[in-house]
Amino acid sequence: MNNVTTTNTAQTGAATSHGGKFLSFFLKDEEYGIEILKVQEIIGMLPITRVPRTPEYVRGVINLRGKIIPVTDLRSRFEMEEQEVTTETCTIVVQAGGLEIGVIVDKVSEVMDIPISEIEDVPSFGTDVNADFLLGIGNANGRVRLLLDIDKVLLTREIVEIHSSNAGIDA
Amino acid sequence: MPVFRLHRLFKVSDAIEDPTNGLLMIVGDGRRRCALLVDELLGQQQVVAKNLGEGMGKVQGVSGGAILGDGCIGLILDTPELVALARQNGTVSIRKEDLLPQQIAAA
Repeated sequence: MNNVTTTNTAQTGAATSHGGKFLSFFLKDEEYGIEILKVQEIIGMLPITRVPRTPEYVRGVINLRGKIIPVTDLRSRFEMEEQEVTTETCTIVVQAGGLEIGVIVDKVSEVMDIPISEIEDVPSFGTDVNADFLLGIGNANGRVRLLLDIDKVLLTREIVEIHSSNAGIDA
Repeated sequence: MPVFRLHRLFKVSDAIEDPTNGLLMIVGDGRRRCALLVDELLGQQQVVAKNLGEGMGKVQGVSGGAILGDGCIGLILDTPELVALARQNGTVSIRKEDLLPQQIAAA
């Protein structure tokens, strides 16, 4: 089912042909990066209203200064065990495929420049995260980060669900 | 009139499941009516209806959300969709023998 979606989201995926600035954050013990141009803002945890009949990783909706936006728990998205909210837990509001979506992460770390020469292709094994969701592996200041293709992470399964629920209504 | 157990559609685990302990809220879409089993009625207020963000997509039974006075978000039910759902799944109706005599009289 996941395989079907890769083609749907291919055009929204960011090009890996250039390096650039990445915001790094932690999930479990691993450090990840997302392109800074996709990041709109970083906020603390706001009260979340759960929305029924949505996937487990969609935590619900929040009130972002009068605008309602959905929030996704990245740990749950990657099928990691849950963690209690701490003072460091925060929501990164990203623009993915033209949509505003909040992403809950354990803590944000820094913004760093990773030149293309320091980005390597993803090995097909050995990461917690599906290789389809990664742009590459970045190396900066002696630390390795998994660079996420946030468009694919946030949009992939949702597209399938929208299609399948439409099919259900037609049937 | 069909009784619609909203907690089943919305998979709410700690809701009141016994219709005699909860409240039945009768809603209609103009032509047809159904009774929604709810825990509690909180009140009535005017709100601005918003969508749940483009990224959320369509949620069955929910038409949108509203920002309440305390900044939290309340979900707005899609009544016609719920009535249609309640009408098509006969399985959600409660049996007559589950009802108390005064409820049968009221229905």
